[in-house]
Amino acid sequence: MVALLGATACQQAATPPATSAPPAKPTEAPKPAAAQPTEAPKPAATTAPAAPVPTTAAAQAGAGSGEPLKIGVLLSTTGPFAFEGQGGTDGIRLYWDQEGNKVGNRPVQLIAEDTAGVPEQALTKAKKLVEQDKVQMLVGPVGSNEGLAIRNYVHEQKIPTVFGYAIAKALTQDQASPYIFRSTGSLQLSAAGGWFAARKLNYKRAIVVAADYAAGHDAADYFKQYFEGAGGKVVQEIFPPLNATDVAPYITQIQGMAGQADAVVLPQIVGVTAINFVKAYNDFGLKSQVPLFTSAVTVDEGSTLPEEGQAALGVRSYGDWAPTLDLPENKKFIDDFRAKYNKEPGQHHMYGYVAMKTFGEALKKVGGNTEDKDALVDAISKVEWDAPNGHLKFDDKHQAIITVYLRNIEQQGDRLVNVVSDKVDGVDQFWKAPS
Amino acid sequence: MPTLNPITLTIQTLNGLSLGMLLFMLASGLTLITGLMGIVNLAQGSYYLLAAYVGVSVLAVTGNFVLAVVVGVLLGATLGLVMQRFFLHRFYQQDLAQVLMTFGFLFVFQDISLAIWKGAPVSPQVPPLLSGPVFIGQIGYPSYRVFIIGVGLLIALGLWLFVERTRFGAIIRAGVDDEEMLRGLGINVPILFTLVFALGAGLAGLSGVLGSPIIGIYPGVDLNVLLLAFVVLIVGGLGSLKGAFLASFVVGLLDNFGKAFFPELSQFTIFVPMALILAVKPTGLFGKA
Repeated sequence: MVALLGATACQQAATPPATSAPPAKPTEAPKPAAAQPTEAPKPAATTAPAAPVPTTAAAQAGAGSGEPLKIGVLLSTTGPFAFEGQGGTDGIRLYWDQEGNKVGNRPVQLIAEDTAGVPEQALTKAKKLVEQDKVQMLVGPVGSNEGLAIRNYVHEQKIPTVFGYAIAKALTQDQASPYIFRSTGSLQLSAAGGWFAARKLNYKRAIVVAADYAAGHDAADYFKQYFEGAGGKVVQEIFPPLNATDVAPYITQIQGMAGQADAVVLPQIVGVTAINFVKAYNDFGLKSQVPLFTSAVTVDEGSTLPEEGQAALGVRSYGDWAPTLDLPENKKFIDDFRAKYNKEPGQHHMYGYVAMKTFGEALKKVGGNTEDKDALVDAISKVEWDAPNGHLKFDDKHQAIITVYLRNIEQQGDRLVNVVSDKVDGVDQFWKAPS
Repeated sequence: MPTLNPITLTIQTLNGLSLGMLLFMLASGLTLITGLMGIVNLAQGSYYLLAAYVGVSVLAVTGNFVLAVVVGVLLGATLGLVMQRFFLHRFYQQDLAQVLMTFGFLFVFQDISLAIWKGAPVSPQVPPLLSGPVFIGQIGYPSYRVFIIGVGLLIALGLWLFVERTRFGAIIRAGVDDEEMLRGLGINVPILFTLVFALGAGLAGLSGVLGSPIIGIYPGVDLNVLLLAFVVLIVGGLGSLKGAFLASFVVGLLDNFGKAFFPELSQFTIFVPMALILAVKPTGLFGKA
């Protein structure tokens, strides 16, 4: 079944690039190639003046031959992280659209594979992308368990890989690799969430509900650590299965304890469970009794929030982005996204876009030369740019240092959006909360 | 630790009943088909999935929940009718071939739904009349779940009257007991099979549309609900409506209390009791040996 699901989803995922990229389609590669030899030395010479001779030669070969730069999109377009994977893919395509599908003169080809959120499948598809399709970089996967599953492989193969999610801390701590980057917030989001809950929202006692898998437990632990560090107390923790559907039993357990808590916190509740939870929380009349405080995925404009509808109005959340953030890059991202897809972007689209553009910025610096891995990885680790969610740069373990925003959901016109009410800058993965 | 006060226990029971009623709609059709034709329809969850998706689409266009339900039921029934009449019928009395064919349909329907609805989870809004809570003392309970319990009980009553009190129902019962004799009496059994198959599929479609606001629709929901419906079928006994009705409550309640008290062990709390029941009574609660 999984194989069948995967196969169809791949076809879907793989077809759009050809149709949705009018300017410089990968299939038109031969044409630029013919025009290139005369121009090729220029980017190589200007962008890598200090590079030793062999590197320059490689750069010329790579950039000048017009051989496409292949990037593997290793996301789950089905399964528990379908929202994240589909959204991420849209964001990645948007970036290459903006760039005309090339770096310098080198055309870019995206090859997408669906992992279905299954670690073994993530590894199989990573191998397929690297060994069969010869991709030079990877974007994805979403699940922490998937990220851990491919970690050793991409490390040994020296394939620069950027995660938009995969929040398992090992990936940028104990098992950090020179080739692995995480361009968006990971567990430091939960840390800041815990601090916000205690210090900004003045919650004293919280019930924490998180999905029963590695990242769910990690997120709950980080929330608890920083919440209790700032004077709060977690009175109960509930771990429903990932992809739990009928959430009524958990909601009723909370009802029985409603008097003992100032807030119900969802540090890691995703997909269909998130939708069902927020709706049921309202339907069971709990919303008017105990405030709900969630991470951004649970109330995301591009995925869960439209399905939740009015049940989500007024819900507070923490995250590293909001569509209402008043930043020039955010406005450009949203305008371009609307123009291309004719819908509203969400966090998942933004994550894909940021991950891809972070690599894209580095690729520009090395003139599209992916053959010199050390220079490329060095360029990625030094990337700094003003992303739609704030200034982006990596720490020395390749985790982005981020700004975390406190948001609440308001009605604007005919749609619901997260509006930022507070923020904390410079949150890294070893963040020390302000006392 | 979980709280045990009477009000939460009552509400947990209601939760279990509302899930149980959705399972009953799915499993009653399954048990009729299994009892009569001797085959297990593995595509029963697919009617749920497709009816739910189509129901949401109808709801999005028209905003009419009743219409969405009607379309969902008709879609389920039509799919069942076509499957039985034009495919399964060709393998009359070849049980294994028929079961395998329903298995094939499961994949086909999965891929169709992925191609059309792209696999992102959706969850429709319930009509305004049924949104929001009804309050039992201090504690709220969603009026939509009360509605589902009501609909489920009505369906159960209707099915019981239909099977026990009508001529057509008598024919179905006779078919469950002795199909060969029934043919000997001049009943057109292939048509009977087709109609029962359509009825069962229509009920699955109903549960899909009604269940989608609380269960959600996503790739894989077909297998999730099918699994629970099988447990109902096995615990209740093949072919027994009464068994399916009681087993739906048992499974709904077990699932609910299991999740509430042992969230990390929620699968365990359904399947261990199922295994115990089967060990004591291999034919299920009301199945015939």
